[in-house]
Amino acid sequence: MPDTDIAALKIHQLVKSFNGKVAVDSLDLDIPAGQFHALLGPNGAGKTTTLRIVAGLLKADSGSAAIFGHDVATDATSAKKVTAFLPDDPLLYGKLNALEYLEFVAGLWNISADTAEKRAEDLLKWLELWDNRAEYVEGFSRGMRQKLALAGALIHEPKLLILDEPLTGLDAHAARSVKDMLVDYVKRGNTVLLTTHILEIAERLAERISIIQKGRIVAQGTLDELRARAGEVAGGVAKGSDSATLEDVFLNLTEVR
Amino acid sequence: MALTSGRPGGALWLLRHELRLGWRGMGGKRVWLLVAGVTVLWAFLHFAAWLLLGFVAKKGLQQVPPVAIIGAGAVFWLFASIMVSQTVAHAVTALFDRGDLDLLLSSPLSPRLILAMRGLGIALAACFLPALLLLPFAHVGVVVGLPGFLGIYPVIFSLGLFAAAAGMALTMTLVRLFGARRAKTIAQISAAIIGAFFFLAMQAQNILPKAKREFILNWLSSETRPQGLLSSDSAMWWPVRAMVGDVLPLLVVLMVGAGGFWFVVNLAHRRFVTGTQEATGGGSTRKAAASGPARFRSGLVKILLMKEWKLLARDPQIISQTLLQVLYLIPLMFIGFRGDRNAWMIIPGFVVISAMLAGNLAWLTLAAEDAPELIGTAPVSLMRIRWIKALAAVLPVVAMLTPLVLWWLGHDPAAAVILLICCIGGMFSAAVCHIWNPRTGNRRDMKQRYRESKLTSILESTGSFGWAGMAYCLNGNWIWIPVPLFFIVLGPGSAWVFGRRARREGGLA
Repeated sequence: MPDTDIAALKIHQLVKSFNGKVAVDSLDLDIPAGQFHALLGPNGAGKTTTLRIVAGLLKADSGSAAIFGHDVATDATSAKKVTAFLPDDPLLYGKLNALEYLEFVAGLWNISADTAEKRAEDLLKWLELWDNRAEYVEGFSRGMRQKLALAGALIHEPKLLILDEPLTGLDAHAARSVKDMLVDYVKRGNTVLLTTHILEIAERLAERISIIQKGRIVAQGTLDELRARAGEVAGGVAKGSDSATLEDVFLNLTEVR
Repeated sequence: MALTSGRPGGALWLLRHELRLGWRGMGGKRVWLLVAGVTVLWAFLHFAAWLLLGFVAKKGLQQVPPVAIIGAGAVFWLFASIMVSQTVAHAVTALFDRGDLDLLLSSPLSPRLILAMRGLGIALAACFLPALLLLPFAHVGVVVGLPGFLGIYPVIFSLGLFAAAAGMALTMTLVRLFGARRAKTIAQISAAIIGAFFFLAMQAQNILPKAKREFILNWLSSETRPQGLLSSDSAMWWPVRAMVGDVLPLLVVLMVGAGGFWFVVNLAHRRFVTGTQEATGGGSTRKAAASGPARFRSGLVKILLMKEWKLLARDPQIISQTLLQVLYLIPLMFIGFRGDRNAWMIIPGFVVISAMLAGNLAWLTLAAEDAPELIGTAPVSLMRIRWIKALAAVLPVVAMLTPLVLWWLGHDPAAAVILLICCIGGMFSAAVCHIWNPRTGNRRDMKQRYRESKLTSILESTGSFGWAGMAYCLNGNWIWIPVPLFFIVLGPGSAWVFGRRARREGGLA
């Protein structure tokens, strides 16, 4: 059965609370393979918690999440094999150099040395880190770290790439090349799920946007569909008109509730 | 508030900032318990001083035998060297590790004032131990009619200033010679060595051959006679004379301490600024020398072991701290290689120290993982990764013990086998506590680790003392075996029970 028939990510009735405080509240989310999906929401809406459960870093209280049919709780290894997760502030090893870091990540995903060497070289050259490959990561700027973490996420060619607030700390040039890369990555049949505060990113890149608030998906659709929703909610023409940006839509949908 | 803290931006205000940070570095609020203990100790020391000085006062200060001056002088220099090693470590922290220097140096305060106050903070911290031990003598001296003993106050302060100046000067010289990055490594390692030097000196009995020992003893006894290099009139012992109120030595000691401090601050504040800028600016001093094509290895075990060992080997703080423990192993090693009948007695010592070393390394590889999220999202069972990390902690210690084990195999095979089994048992039992009761930590806080996870360290030592006891019992004391066996099971067993929740929550390495 080709992968396209199975959802890249299927979240069903996911619940997680911390010390009695509900962070994710019966959340449902389906992302078909090959989609660029953005998860949008105010601070503390449960975006990061959801992603961490999907990535296998947290255990859900109830509900399920499956990556290409592999349940993240019961079949974690298979699920992790095809997934890469990039946290918002990627923690790297200060005392490893860029190549050593990629070697380590490739080893964790059991990529053969020959394949990994080739990919590492391509990735570092493309991210303009090749000249810094022998330097310890502790001397890297935030943007360089972000790019190296991205290279680490891509070295095992995941089918699902999960990014928590990517592009923070990148300069305009680097952000542009990362955006191009993500779009290209989806074109090749892979799936990307990202969270972001920066509405412009979601607006430009994502085919489908989910707006999350208080641990639930409150709206989902293409930008146009969301515009229409926002128009209904606001009851006015101006807010729902074609010219409304995602920011208007976002503020409308999250404030009213 | 304003009265006690001084004008903002002023010297007093800055000093208060330094002391507060130093105080919190020592443990802050929880230190109150320690304070209570210290107070009791201090009362006791006053009593002891009263007994001793009462005796001296009755006889008169002139009747004190010269040997006492030499002894006190030796203790003084011991203190001084410990203080310098402390201030070197402290200056490294103040220069490189504390994140507030960028803020301070970007403020309109003069760098000289900042350096002086930071130095004063270091000096006062260094005064703590000698003040604790010696000030009772000053107080009691006044009571029993020896007011000269008040000289202890200025001498301690002067010693603190001197140690701070020496520590800062050493640290900054290293920066100049080797650059900020490597200076940090060297300073930390040398601080560890200075600290361990006296331990090793005390162990000289066990280390040196008999002829050498006799030679040193002879030399010492000839030089301490009158007119000898180390006689009681020697300037070497002036600090002691200063402490009992001799005016000339007191003036000299004060001049050396305060003058040295003033000199270092004035000469070096510029270098201080460049040194920190180099350290915190993040500009890598490493040239991209190794810039060949990518050459990767494969195989999870190999890659994980290499990664852990690289991280351990490249961290100067870890090296200096584990080096200290390795230094304690050296005298034991020498006893072992001498190969007399006592060899059996040192096996439990080996077990305890190697388990402690492996436990520390296991904490670094397991709890202080820098990128737990990466490990957590990798398609490898977390337990498998943890066991490999434990192996990364145990193998270096095994490598250190190997020469002795091999040597013993030829002389006393039974001892060699027991040493190997119990050491490996102790090391794994320490490592297993971290596997089964996972906690996350930061490798920067290695010193704090005992305070943070008391439980794990208690369990660690329970298991390793069990194995040490086992080593003792296996030497023919069979009947006692159940006792160490109980502790061997108790340590890791409790870790397993206490760690259930953390393991279930799982996720992070």
